[in-house]
Amino acid sequence: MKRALLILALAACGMPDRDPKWRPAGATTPRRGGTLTVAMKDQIRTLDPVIAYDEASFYGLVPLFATLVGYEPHGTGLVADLAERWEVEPDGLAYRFHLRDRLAYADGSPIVAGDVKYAMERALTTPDSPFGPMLVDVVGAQAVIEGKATDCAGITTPSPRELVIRLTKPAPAFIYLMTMKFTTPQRAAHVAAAGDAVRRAPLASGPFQLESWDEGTKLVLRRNPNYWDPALPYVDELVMYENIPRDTQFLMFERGELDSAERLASPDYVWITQQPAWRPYIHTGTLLQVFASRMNTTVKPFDDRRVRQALNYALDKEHTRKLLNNAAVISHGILPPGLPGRDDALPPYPHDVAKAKALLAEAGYPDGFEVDYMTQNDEQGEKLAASLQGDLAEVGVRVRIQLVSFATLATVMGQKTGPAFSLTSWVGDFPDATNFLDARFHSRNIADENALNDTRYANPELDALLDAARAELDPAKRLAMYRRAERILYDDAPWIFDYHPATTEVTQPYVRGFELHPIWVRDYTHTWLDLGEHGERVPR
Amino acid sequence: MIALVARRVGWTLLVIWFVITATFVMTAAIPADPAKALLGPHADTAAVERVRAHYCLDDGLVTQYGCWLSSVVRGDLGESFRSKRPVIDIIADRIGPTVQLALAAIVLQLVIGVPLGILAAVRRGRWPDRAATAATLLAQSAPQFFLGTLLLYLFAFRFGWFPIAGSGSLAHLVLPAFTLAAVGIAYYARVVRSELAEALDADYVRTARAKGLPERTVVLRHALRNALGPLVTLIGLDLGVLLGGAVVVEAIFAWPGLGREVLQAVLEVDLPLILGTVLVTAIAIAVANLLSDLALLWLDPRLRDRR
Amino acid sequence: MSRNWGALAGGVLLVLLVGLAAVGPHLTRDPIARDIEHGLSAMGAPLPPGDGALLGTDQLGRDVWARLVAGAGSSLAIAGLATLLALVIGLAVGLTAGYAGGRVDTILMRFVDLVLSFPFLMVAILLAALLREADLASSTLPVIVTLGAVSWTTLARVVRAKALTLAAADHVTAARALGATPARIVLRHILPNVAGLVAAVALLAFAQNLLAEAALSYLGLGPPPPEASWGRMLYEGRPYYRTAPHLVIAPGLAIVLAVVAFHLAGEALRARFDPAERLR
Repeated sequence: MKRALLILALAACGMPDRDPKWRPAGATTPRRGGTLTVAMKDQIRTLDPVIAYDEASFYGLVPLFATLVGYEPHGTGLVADLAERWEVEPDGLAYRFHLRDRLAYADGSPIVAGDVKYAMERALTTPDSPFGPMLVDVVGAQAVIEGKATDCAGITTPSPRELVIRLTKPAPAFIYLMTMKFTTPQRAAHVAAAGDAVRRAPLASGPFQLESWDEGTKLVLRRNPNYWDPALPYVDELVMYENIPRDTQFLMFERGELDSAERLASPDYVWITQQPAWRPYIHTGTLLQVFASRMNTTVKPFDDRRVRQALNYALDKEHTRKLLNNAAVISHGILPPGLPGRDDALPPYPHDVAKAKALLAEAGYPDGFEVDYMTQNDEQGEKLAASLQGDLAEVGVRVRIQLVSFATLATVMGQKTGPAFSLTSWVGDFPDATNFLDARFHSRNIADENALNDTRYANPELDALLDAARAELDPAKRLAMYRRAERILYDDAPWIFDYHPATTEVTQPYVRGFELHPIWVRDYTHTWLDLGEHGERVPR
Repeated sequence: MIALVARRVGWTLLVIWFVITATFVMTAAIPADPAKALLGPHADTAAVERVRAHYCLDDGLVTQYGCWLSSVVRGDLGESFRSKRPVIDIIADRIGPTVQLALAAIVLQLVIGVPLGILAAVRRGRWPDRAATAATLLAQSAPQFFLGTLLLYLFAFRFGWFPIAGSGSLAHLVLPAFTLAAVGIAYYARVVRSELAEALDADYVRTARAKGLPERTVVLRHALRNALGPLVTLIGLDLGVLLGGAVVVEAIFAWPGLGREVLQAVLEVDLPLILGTVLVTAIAIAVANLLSDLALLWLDPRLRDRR
Repeated sequence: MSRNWGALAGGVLLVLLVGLAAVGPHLTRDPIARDIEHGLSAMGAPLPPGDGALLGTDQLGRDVWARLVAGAGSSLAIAGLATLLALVIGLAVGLTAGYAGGRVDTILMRFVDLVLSFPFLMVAILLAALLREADLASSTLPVIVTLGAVSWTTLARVVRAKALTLAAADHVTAARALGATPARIVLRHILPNVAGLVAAVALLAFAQNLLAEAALSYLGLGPPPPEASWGRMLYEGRPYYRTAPHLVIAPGLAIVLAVVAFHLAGEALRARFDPAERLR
């Protein structure tokens, strides 16, 4: 007993040295070789690109699959990937992609244009693919979805290296679908041969290929020797541990068991940002993400715009920011910073208790009201809900918090009779305003069940504007329309606009060439390890 | 005897049926839509309706239940909604670590708990007894994740004696097994202490002592027998509970067992996975109970005449 | 630790706990009021114990001491109501089975066996998830019902065993011969005789429920915010165990102390009413 106490006392007092244990060896150009080990909080569900949508599975897809069009290494600009170039018809109704010469999968078999057509048709015909319906603008896609055809008439392959896609109406955002992993080429014979096991038998076209996958525990990838860019990737092997909580990841990281730790938990983030020795190795980036509180604009008291505006004035966004350790940008709308069409001149709603009270009184609620607020049962959701509860109490709105699982929240929010007031969030699939504004605020997305427009906000003026912008081929005009749409939403306030979170990743000093990517989040294509001569870590 | 065993087996089957049926009803009552959980937040109405139709989610509860039950009888547990992986594969993957952890915990409970109980009983009222009582009381009173986090921090992170998370080696097993076993150690120690204490005052033990047998033999051979029955019952119960997966411990130490899968499945309303894991767990519990009952019958022939 | 000392320590601790729960909240700050401006560091981290707050502040800048005190009331109420629920069910089932005996007894006890065949945590998870999402989510009711619904079986078994022997006792047979109604016999002759034992078992169940509340909270199925139950505090504090250990140690120790207290008191009662320690 005494000995145990002594050990405890020692552990409590003698703080160990928590500075980085290693340093970069000092190479000036990227070196090849080595194993990069990372971890993730959740578990990879599937490696089938037409099905996977969750973040953990996405971490697995990104290194395995390349698409015709890609993003620049650290930004959202489009670059050639499997396609060396592409053309758009002037009327915006047809896209022609030219594949690179001698493309091959990891197993050495050739990648042909028909494989992309097959992948897109597979998304259309697979019922549990969330992506199929995204292709509705493609000629003939609806017929395939409805089972009236198996061949999508609008997708043709004039030659093995050429893919032509025709649309029913101009849709400038269409090109972004060709960056999404569900359009990665897949060989029909491989998918057919793998059958149900296709979820764990990826035929890789990206920088890495599958070595082994102990499901729920770890995914091991190794270099794909047939990747179109022979210089990449730099590391030989990529190991991804699954199901490791973030605070545990950080312990493993400090012990040197991980080369990189994702999204530090709040306490660890606060600690590490205060360590000068660690500062150069903290990577911060904003993803295409937004968090807010949605209100059902068709039910009392939220049917009154003044109430919605009042709540926007009542929420102190500085509280939110501080609770997120300042790692967030306050939002004025749904579009995240950096997204084309975002009106950066529009300031967020200020915190103004007097104005909020006045608006509530005007709307007939001088003493406020009582309301349930549904949120997700995780640390951050609960913390911010408690903060919202306190802020709204100051203007007389008494909030009761309901905690539910994410699945329930996602289901009931989209129901006509679902909760009127809840947390909401959105992650963009690609950097285009349609993916945000149309999805969440266009009245065509209102339905009795599973409505994406779960505020049930219907404004013909906004609808017309979004429809026009969706098909507008002149980029400047198009972005101006989205800026106008943002103003309309700001005034009508179907959400209590809150914040865009910043994401962080901390890497060991010898990990070089890594930056958080706004879409891919973790992309290790250009990452290399600055290790000693024999591949050993160089002590600090 | 055979009739008795047959009756026990029949009852066990009934229990298993009841457990999965009740689980089905409870799961169905959760308002989350499996189709939405399956497709993710970006799925629009059309995509969700497509899936609902595909998985017969619109066919009503009775049909769904009938569907599921008949496929189970045919030995098919279906596929997880979320990952499309056959439920049987998921369980096969997870059951190994779960059994490992459960057995390790029971071994620890026996290896630490029983000697502690003997010590306390033999030195009744003196300091070893008091220390053992106090220690077991504390072990029983600490919330599992309080203890687990403490052990993780001290012995894995600070001293580096054990790996921080994951599975694969004996070293990985130590901390989770110990965290899981803490309550059991205390409990076993108490049971052994009280059974042994009673036996030590009993006539047959006095007789053994009077015959001049060494105290060690008296305690271990004669008195401890008394504690055997309750211990077997306890092990049976424990095994059942532990095979259900240790959700909290698995979460702390990233142990890839069944418990974590169950929790995730419930949160994502992954119906086939929930039902599959509950079925397997219920079977494990029922079988463990059955075995311990049979072991009791074998240990104590007098019980055979009852019922 | 001799039994009397244990009983005394348990009793004193219990009185202190209940006293704290009853009087404490009047002496501390508001356990729910966040203070994001002053209760957190510039980076938004909780403040360590000392200056402003005796036990520091939590992740929302709330006073940990105030929450700990409020948590005594909250946790005791949750575990207490759950135990009460278990008691009502357990007594009803146990007394009926024990008094009626025969077929009724067999059926009821088989039912208890059935309930015990459920994987405990699985049921707790499902039940908590279910109740929480059935419009009760903003109250502590789901937690209470879940804990009550899974903890009544032990009580039922104990009560039944005792009632079975009592039902055959002379004074009960006499009362029956005199034409007393079953309800009267149970209430007048059996209940008073099982009361002590039941109290002992209930105290032990209380301790179990305190721990179970913490486990449910850890799984994110505990009482909703801003409730200051110890389980919720522990759950909210867990990510901070290295940088702000007071957020874990304070509620953790509180739970340990309270569980120890209930155990000691329960054991003492049990020793009095069940000297053979036959009951587990």
